[in-house]
Amino acid sequence: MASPCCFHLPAGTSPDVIDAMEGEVRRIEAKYSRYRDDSVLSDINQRAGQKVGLDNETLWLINYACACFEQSDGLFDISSGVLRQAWDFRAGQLPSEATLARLLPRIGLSRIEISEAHLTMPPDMELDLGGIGKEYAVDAAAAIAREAGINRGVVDLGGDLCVLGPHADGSPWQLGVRHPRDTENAIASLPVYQGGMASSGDYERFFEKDGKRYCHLLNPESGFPVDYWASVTVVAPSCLLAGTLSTIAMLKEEAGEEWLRAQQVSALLIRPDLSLLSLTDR
Amino acid sequence: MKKTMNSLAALAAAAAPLAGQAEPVPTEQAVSYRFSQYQEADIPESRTFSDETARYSIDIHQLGYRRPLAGQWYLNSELQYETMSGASPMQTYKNSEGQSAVLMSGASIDERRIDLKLAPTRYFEDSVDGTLGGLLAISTENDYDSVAVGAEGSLNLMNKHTTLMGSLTLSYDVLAPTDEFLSEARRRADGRVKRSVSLYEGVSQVINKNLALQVGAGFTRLSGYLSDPYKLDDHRPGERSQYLIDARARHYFAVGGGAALHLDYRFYTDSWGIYSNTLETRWAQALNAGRFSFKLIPSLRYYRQTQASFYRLTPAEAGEYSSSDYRLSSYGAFNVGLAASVGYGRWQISGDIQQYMSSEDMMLLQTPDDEAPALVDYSIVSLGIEYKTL
Repeated sequence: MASPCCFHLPAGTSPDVIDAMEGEVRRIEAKYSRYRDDSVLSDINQRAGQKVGLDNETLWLINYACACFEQSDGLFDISSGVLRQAWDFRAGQLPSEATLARLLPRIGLSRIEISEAHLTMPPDMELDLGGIGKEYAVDAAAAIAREAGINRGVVDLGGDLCVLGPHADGSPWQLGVRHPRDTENAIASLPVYQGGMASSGDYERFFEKDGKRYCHLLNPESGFPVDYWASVTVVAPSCLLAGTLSTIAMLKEEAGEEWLRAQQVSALLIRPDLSLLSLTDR
Repeated sequence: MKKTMNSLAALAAAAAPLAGQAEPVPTEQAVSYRFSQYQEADIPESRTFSDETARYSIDIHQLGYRRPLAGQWYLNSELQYETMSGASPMQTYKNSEGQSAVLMSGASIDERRIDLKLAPTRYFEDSVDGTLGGLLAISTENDYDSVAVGAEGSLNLMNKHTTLMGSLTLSYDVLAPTDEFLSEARRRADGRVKRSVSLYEGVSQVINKNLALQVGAGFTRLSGYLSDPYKLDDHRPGERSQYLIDARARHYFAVGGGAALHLDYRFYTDSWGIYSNTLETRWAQALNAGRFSFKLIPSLRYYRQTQASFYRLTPAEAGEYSSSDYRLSSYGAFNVGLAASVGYGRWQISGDIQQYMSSEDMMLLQTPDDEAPALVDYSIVSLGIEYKTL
């Protein structure tokens, strides 16, 4: 994984458990990486247009992605990765209308078909599980720790977190929320006893042009980056849910606030002017 | 899925199956040991012919080992060693006062039994989602040898919401009663064989994220020497067909570290004229405290059966079937149990206590006229320890 990963586990935790957790993260990374030709994801993409048999785990992840697609009214779409061809964040160039017009019709998760553990997607479609794979790996590593009887500690994969349980004295973990304009530092901290916390923000990949910031979170209908929030951090029962909720809130832009309130989760929303909006669960 | 006001609930539901699913080949390796003591209560003194009232007692040692094998295979194995001592009822009969009384065998039994079970399972995850397993069980004691082979399979459908399961078991037992000079029945049984074929089919269905149901039906065909050579005047048919239907419900509750209410029902009937009903309920409670995880499972079971058509306490005509075995009489039984376990890291310690009480009065409805004083009460206490590696 490209981001720093660490496990905060109680002293005396068996190295075997830590190895198993690390192995699980690597396994998931290798299985769903779009950079590896031998990954399950690459295989699915190479066989677009055909009926592809899915193993349980992949079937489950794609089903989950479909639920995200529906719950976000199509904003959270694992087939929107083709837009990366239009947005080169290193070059810092805006895409041409023609490029976007060519790519946008290729997006739309409603066009895939899943039945009896088989997936059929249109030949021009490409899936990218980057938006959920890392969060899922966090939960999977945490599950191994719990299985081994560890009920304290934090699994942290580059800011996507899962808290196994509170500190020994019963107090919650104070988890730092990354400062969107100074990403080495925290802008605030949130108390978490157990469960997941994840952030989504405009600081991961972006460029600025004529004073405007263009980030990697793209609206699959317009093909353009969202810009209403600088970042959204959500605390939820699992890291996967936290990650999904934060991304959907980012993509929903202004409506994200009301939508997050309806989910009754704790969240910290940061506006581009760095003012904070804190939502607490009831 | 319908779009809901609360997307979190919808997403959590979509994320839920994997938590309970995770049914690729298990990766853990574990060694376990369990000691159990089975103790039958004394028989009422007023109803025995001799003054022998102490009954069976069994000490059971179980050594378990399970591990992944190559590929998609996983192995479960168990070695069991039992020592039995005590006495068992040889006959129930009507005494001169018209009361049923029991003739005990005398504390003559002192036996050992060794039992080995191997059960490899192949997990399928790709085009088919399910398992296929085999079973080999061998058991030997000085008067009884048994070998059983079986196959079982499960098939998950509809994204694991529906599971079909089936099993087939064949067994072959050989009798060699001890002290054959004591009775004609023991001599007759020597070297005789008992065979069985058993079939079970079931389907389980996830109703929602908190409720799962299972129903199934089973058929067992026994043939060969089915009488009990240690009982007097015990002449049973050489064939027995057994039918059962069962239903199980599991409801999960977010209480403590998670809890589940189990409710099981079983209906049974056979070609010997026995009908039985079993109702069992359990509450499985998980609790977590620091690195310790606790499980507590209280249970209650009720069982009732009607007698076999040839159950009788008076001598039979020659050539007629007859048995005074209390297990073929009409009776009812209650079992209360409490199982508990503590897990810490890779270790788990568990304990279990069961108390079983049976009597003809516990049939509750239609109490039989004939008493069955041999009906047994027993307790089982067990203590186990398990060590897991990942």
